[in-house]
Amino acid sequence: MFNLQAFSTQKSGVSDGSVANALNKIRSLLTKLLHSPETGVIELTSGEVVEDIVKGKIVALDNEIYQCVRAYADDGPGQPFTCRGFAVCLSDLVEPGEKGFFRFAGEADTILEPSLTPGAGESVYVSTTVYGSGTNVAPTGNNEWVRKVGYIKDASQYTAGPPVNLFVRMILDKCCENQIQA
Amino acid sequence: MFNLQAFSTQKSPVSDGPTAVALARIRGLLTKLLHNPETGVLYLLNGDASPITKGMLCRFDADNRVTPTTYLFGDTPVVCLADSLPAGEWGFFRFAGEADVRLINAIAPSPSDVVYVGGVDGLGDISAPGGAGTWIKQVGWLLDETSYVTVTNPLVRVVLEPCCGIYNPII
Repeated sequence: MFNLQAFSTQKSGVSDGSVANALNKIRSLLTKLLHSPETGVIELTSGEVVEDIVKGKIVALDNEIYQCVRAYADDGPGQPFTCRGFAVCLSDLVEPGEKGFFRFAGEADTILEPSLTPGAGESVYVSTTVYGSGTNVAPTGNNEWVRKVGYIKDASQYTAGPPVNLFVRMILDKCCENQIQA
Repeated sequence: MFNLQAFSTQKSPVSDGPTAVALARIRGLLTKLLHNPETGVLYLLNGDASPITKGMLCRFDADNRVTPTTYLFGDTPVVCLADSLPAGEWGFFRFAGEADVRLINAIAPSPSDVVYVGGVDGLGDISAPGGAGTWIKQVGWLLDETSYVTVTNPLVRVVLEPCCGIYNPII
């Protein structure tokens, strides 16, 4: 990922005056660019009522403007179907009603369900059992939706622990897959 | 959206000398970046006989050339960013990120609706087409419909995520 801190380091030789002022403004501008739709990031409000949305959780658009909730791919009786316009939470923690940054395109560290054996190159789908998590096993149950979010680029961090680490590095790619049958 | 004008304002205290020159060049570079495929923008020719207006959905019909599209084509749409791009002129079109998309009139869009390529040249719809010989072609997801006014301003804010199309076969 692009490292804005590298720029911060390079400017350290200049601490004041018009040049330092200009560099600070450029860095501020680049920070905004890296948090803009042009680079795949959109600021959304959490529509959750109780639960926080933490970094790596998969969210879906909600029915209010620029609002999201944790994604969930089961629309069976009593289940809220929340599978529209997926993104991954970049902010450490977004409380209900608060704003945070969410990535729609590019790469993101994404939380999977526990007890999986993910591998690089596998597809990630929205979970039907854990709100906001992904899974490398395509849902097959009644009322469940097969909603692909992307591909695993690196699963080396994922471990059942202890300590538990459910993150994988994912390339967001949400297009449907169709296999030609013989 | 990213606002390059903010930078323009902030740099005003520096008006000449090497710092001003450097800043002007950086701003020039950032302007190019914001009109670049790396940030989801393409520079294309209007191949239609009429102007293409802001938010219209277009398809490629020749090299680097676009025309307003309908659900009869399965191509990936791009969205016009110019207020009005005259016939035969070049302008900027967005294929990724966020964009204002022009919808058909007299509908009731709401957040998280899927936006599809519609049945009228260049206009989107929130209803998937079902007729034989049409393509169900997703453009993206609706983020904000509050500025939508039928006829006078049928624009909504959309996060662009064109998905593979599904063809309704002619039986």
